[in-house]
Amino acid sequence: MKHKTLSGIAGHIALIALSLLFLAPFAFMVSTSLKDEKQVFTETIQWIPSPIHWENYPAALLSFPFWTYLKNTLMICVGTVNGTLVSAALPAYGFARLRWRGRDAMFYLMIATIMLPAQVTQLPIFLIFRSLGWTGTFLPLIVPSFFGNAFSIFLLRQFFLTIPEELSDAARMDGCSEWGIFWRILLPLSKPALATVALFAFMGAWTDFQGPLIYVHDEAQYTLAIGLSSFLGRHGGQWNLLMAAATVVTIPLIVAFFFAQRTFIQGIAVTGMKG
Amino acid sequence: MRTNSRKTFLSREQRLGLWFISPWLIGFVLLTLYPILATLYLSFTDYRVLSPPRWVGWANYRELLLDTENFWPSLGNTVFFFLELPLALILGLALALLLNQKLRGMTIYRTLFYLPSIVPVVANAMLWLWLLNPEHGLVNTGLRAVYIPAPAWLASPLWAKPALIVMDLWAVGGSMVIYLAALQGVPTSLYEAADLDGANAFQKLVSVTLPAISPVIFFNLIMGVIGTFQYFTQTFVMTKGGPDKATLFYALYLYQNAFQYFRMGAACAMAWLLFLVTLAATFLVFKTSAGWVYYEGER
Amino acid sequence: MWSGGEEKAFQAVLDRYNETHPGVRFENLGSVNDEKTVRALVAGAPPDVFTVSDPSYLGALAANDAILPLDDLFGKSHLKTDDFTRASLSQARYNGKLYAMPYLVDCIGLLWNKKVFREAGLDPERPPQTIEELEEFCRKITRHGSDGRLTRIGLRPPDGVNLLALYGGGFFEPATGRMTANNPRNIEAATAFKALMDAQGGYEAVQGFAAGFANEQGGYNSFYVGQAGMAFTGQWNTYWIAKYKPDTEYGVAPLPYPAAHPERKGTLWLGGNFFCIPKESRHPKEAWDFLVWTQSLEAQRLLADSLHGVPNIRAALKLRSLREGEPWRVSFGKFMDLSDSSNATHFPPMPVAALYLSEINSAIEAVGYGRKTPEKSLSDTQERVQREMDRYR
Repeated sequence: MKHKTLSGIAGHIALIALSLLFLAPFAFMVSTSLKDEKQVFTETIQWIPSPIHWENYPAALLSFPFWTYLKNTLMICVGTVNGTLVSAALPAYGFARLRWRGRDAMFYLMIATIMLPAQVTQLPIFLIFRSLGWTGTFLPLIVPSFFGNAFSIFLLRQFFLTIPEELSDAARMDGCSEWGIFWRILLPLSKPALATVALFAFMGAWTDFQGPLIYVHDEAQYTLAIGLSSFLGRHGGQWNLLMAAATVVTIPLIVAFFFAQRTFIQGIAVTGMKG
Repeated sequence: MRTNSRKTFLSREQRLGLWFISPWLIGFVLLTLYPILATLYLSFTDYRVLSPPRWVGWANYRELLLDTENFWPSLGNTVFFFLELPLALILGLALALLLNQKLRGMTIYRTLFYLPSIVPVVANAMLWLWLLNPEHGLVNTGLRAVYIPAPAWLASPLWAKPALIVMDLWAVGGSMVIYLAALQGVPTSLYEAADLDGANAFQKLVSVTLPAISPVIFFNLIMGVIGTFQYFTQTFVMTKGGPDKATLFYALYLYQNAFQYFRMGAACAMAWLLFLVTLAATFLVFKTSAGWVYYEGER
Repeated sequence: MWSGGEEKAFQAVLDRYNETHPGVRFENLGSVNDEKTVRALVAGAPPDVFTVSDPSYLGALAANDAILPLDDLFGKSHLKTDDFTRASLSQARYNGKLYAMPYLVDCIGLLWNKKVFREAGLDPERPPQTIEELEEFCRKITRHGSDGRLTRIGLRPPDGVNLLALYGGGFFEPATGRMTANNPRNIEAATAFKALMDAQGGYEAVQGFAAGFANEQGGYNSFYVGQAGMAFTGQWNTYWIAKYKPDTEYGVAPLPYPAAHPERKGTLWLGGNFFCIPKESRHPKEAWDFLVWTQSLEAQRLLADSLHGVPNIRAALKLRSLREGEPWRVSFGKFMDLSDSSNATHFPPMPVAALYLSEINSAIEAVGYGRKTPEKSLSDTQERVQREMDRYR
């Protein structure tokens, strides 16, 4: 229910002012990306560059192996999303729709792992992969996603809980197995939740920095996140190109967000609310 | 108690349940339980990665606790960053309250405020490195235009952390969205009752709204505490711990030990200490939550 | 490897080797920096031979048995110690053994901007000789705008360790195995550092000002555009200035020495690039052959020209093609002359070098910001690194 706390006009003014404040960094980023190198460092800010250097964009993309990095990032993202979906749906069903002794204890254990700092497990996991010979490949980044991500399981479980029990009961009476119920009833009804999980997994993989930092060493395998940061060492001075590259890396997420806005926000809201 | 003493000791329901959660369970043992124990073990060794681990008992822990140069500052810096939590809370909540009205263009505003939180961390770091540039950055140029003294931000030991906090606050749209959803879930009946009692806007805020959404605030607080302990990418990309160790955060120092100084054993010790501290902090927040978190008909 | 452009140049060198040595093929796996190489080693996935641009890693690699000692191979080859500039080989020695082959050295000297000198009323042909003169020059060059902000500084803030090197305090006593970070000369140097920064308006102001410019690589380097009068920097600038801002008038000089210690005159700080062969290399023999080839005159010339480093082979230093031709080569030549000076110095290879260097630079920073006195700052560093070093026994 919407609740009026301010009169309309004052609200609008506040919102507009704040929006400008929030947008300013973006605008600055794009503005810098279109500037000539010499015009980047000026005493007073020039919002609209003159001349506008559209060619900064192709130049930036050419100055580092953008397409390679993009390809790498996409490969990791697709792999991770698949793994997450598969390994989140099954456990979520087990926690939500089945009754068995020890279920709740396991569930709370799982929730507790969300609170675990990554560093505690990071190093031995690194050593495990090292002894398997998987360092220098994408495997350490993709394979773990097939083993269940607590956050995704949690999200799906909450969602599954909202589906009426009667559907499952009816199916059971018809002789359907649990797997059948899962596959043919629950999943098709859960498309929005699954989409949300996929979206979050994608975002996580797209922006992951520390993972590739530790596991990927060959430049040909860099992801966009790492590639962007090595930009700063590489082209120390060319902030305009750097901003162009950063804009390009940001845009896919913004686009994804626009298309999946409602799913996105609902997903966050669901988990936030039930916390 | 066995359900069926003739068969195996796991009931049919249990087996089914375990089967379904097996991906997570296996992952838990392999990727969570084992590593936690391994980290514990390694923290008692001198492990230089390129050569086998050597047992040294408490030496790593002792060294860390004696280390006034790096360890304690890194802990202090991280704790300082807790300041960001109440700020983010107030800002996020304020924005949510603002947006929770029947004004036109609400979806647009909501999107606008949310956008910064989906910018990839690295791109964000680059951007803010530039925005906070003491000479040419947008922030200082803006400050100078209104005659406010412009600090050296990331070049100043005093202002570096506040700079990072400002950067983080820009991404407050993430929690704003959660608060917004929570606000929209508050039953109108409560507000109507308050109106009947003659409450003004402020009183309604304090006595109805805040308690009603307190579980959500609580959740964000916990996640915030945990997240702060793991703050890494920004400092790695932007400042590498400087200036003068002002931004040497716990996670960064841990990384340096493991991957730059060849001190894996010490890094593992740091990781375990972090684990314990996180547990303690989370426990603390949970315990105090009874005083102010209000659950409406929880199971 | 420092950047993309240099990688291509290195590839050209590799190509040349591959051409002239059929039967062996070297592929550049594209390393970008040492940290990454170290991570690859830590990850157990080393290449057959790798380069190191920051020699401070050599000590740790050697102490942990990650790289092969090369003394035997060296003895059997036609290479002689005297062929090399003294400081280039000494950077690769740890515990008496040779662990790496240098392939170019970086020399940090003093560059000064003649135009700025003129504007500040200083003789453009006379660089500061002593540290005291350096401070005085800084004072004259530093300018503030009407709002009190810096508009020009005298010296771009150097790495703290460079200043320590100038005073000759040393970092390590091999005989006792003690770290000597806080010896009296180092304390003097740290004090001088703070004085230098204060002469320009304080360390924080200077850092803030310098942050307004690009890193070294790029046309907007504060030194190039005359916003800084001097810089402690290396020979690669001769090439970059010619490329990005050719109208800069500058001079090359050895780093200023402290008036109280004239024997330090002619000091140059060295870094270097090295090849190492990892213990787990699958082709150590071929790798060694390649390393030997890089010491040949032809290879040295190729490397120096493409990567803009100073050759480490004495005979190569005399190569006319490197010193003559374009005007910037004359300046490059000056660096080459200085590189074999008896006072050319570098950080001692040791297992804790990475930590030590990082701590020293932090220690000097702390002094610069006024947070600690030189004595306390360096003593803290000494204790810390000593404790770490003790674990290597």
